[in-house]
Amino acid sequence: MTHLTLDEMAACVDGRSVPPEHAATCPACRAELRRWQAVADGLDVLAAEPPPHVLERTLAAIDAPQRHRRRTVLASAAAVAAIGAAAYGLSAVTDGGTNPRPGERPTAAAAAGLAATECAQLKVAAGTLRSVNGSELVLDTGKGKPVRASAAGAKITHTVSGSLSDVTVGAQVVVQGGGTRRGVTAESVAVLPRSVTPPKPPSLPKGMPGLDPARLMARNGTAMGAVSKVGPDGFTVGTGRSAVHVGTSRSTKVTKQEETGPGGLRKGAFTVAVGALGQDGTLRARTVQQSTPQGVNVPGGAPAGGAPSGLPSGGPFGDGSRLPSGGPPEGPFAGLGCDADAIATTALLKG
Amino acid sequence: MEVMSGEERTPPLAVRRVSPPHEDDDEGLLARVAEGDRTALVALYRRHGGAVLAQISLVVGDRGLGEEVLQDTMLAVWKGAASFEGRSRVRSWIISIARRQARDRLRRRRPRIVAADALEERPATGPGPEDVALERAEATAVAHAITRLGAAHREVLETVFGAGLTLAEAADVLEVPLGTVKSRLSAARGALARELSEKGYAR
Repeated sequence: MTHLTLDEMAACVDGRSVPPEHAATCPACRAELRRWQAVADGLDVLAAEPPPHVLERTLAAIDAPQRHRRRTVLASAAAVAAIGAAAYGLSAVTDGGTNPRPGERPTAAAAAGLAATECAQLKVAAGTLRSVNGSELVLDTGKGKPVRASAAGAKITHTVSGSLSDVTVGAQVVVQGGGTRRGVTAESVAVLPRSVTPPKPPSLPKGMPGLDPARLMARNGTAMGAVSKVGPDGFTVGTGRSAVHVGTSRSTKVTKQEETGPGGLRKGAFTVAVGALGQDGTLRARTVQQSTPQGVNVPGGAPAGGAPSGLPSGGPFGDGSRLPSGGPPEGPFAGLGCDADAIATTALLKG
Repeated sequence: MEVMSGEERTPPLAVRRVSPPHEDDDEGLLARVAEGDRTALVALYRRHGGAVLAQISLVVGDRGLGEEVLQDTMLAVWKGAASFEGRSRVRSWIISIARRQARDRLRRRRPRIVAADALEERPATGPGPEDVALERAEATAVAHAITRLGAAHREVLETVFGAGLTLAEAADVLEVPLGTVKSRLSAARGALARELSEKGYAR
C-alpha cells in the first residue's frame, strides 16, 4: 500500500488530478487530504479577483504610443474612444470588422462527420447548416461530407445575444472563463432554456469528502448549472458546498440559447444535431442546437473551435492527458450517457 | 449529393488537444499575445492575475506596490510572450516573471525582501493531534490563521494551494530546493494547526 505523496495531495486539492483509488480506502490519506483541503479553503477565503484598474492601466500603457499617433493623425476623440474599447476586449463589436475577431476561427469540429457517443443509440452531427427544407436539415460536417438530419419532433434551440440581465435565479448556465480561488471570472456566459439541462460534472471516486467536482471545475474556469443567487458583481451557480461564485464584468459576453422551430434555424450557422441514425442514413434528431452564423463572435460557442477546459471530456481538470487512471473516461461525450441535450450542448460549446 | 450512411469513430470531433496548442489554452493565449492580440492578454490577466498578485503582495509586503508589479508583469508578458519556450506551465512562467519584477522594484525602491528569519525551517514532524484543529475550524478561521503565518510559510502555501503549481514548479519559482518546499509546506501547516489548536479548535 503506497500512501499519497505530498505532490499528489496537492494535485488532488488543486484539481489537477483525481484522487487515486487508494485514497478512498486509506483513512490516513483521506485525513491528510481533508487537512490540506482545509488549508486550501482558508486560502480561498483570502483570495481576491485581480483588480480591473491594473488591467486598464496595463492596456493603456500598451496603447500609449498608438493612441498618440492616432491623435496626431485623426485628432479625434472618437478615435481615442474606439481604441479604448478595443483595448478592453470589445474589438469584436467595435472595430467594424477590420481586425480579426477573437472568435473567428476555423470550424475545427466540422472536420469530422458523424460522431459516436457513449450511448449506442445516439450519434452526433456537427457542422454548418447547408439547407432547411421543412424539418429536413442538411449539415456540412467537413471533408465535404454532408449529413441529412430530420428535426421533426426535435427540441430545437439557437443562440442569440443576451445580457447579464438574462442571468436570473433558476436560469441554467454554462460559464467559461478564468478559474480563481473564489470561483470563476466569466469571459462568457451561455444561458440555456429551462428545458435544456447543462452537462453534469463528472463524479469523483467515492469516499472523497472535501473534494467537490463543481469546485474543481471552477478552478479550471468552468461553471455549469442553475443560478442560485444574483449579486451586483456576479452570480452564484449551484448551492451549498458546490456553490461557485461567478464574477462578471462589462466585458463578460452573454449569449442565450432559445427554443425555436426548424424555420428559426439559419443557414450557414454552426449546428449540432443529436439523435439516432436511421436505416436510410438520416439522423433522427432529438435535439438540434445552433450557434450564431459564422463570423459573429459567440463566446464559448461554435464556431470557436476551442475546447473549453473544464468540461467533462477533459475532466474537471482541464487536460485529459493529466488524468490518472480511474478518472473520467476519455472522449468528447464521456460521462454524458444518453442525455441528448447534454451531448448537444457539449458539442456546441466545443465546436 | 453524397450522404453519409455510416459513422466515423475517429476522430469523433476535433476536441482533443493537439499540437499546436489550442488558442484558448494558456499556451494558445500566449501565442495570440505574441501576435498582438489584446483580448488574449485580458484573458491571461483574468486567469492568473489574482494568483500573481497574491504572490507578489507577499514578496513586497504591500498591496499597492504589488499592483504596480502586477502591471509591470503583464507588460513584460505582452512584450516577451514570443520568448516563452514552453519549458514550464504558463502560470509558473508568469509568476517567475512577477517575482523578478518584484525584486527589481524592491532593489530600486527600498531594501525590503521577505524577512530572512521567516525562512527558519522547522523539522517536518508529520501529522499530530493538533491537525484535528484544521479539520474542525471554519474556513474563515483558517484564513485568519494563514494571515498570521510568516511570509515564507504563507508564500509556499499560496504557490502550491493558491496558484496551483506542482511542488517542482514551486521550487522553481521560489528558487529553493524541492525538499525545502516540502518542509516549508509541512511546517506551514503545522504552524496553522498550532494556531487553530490554541484557539480551541482541537478540543
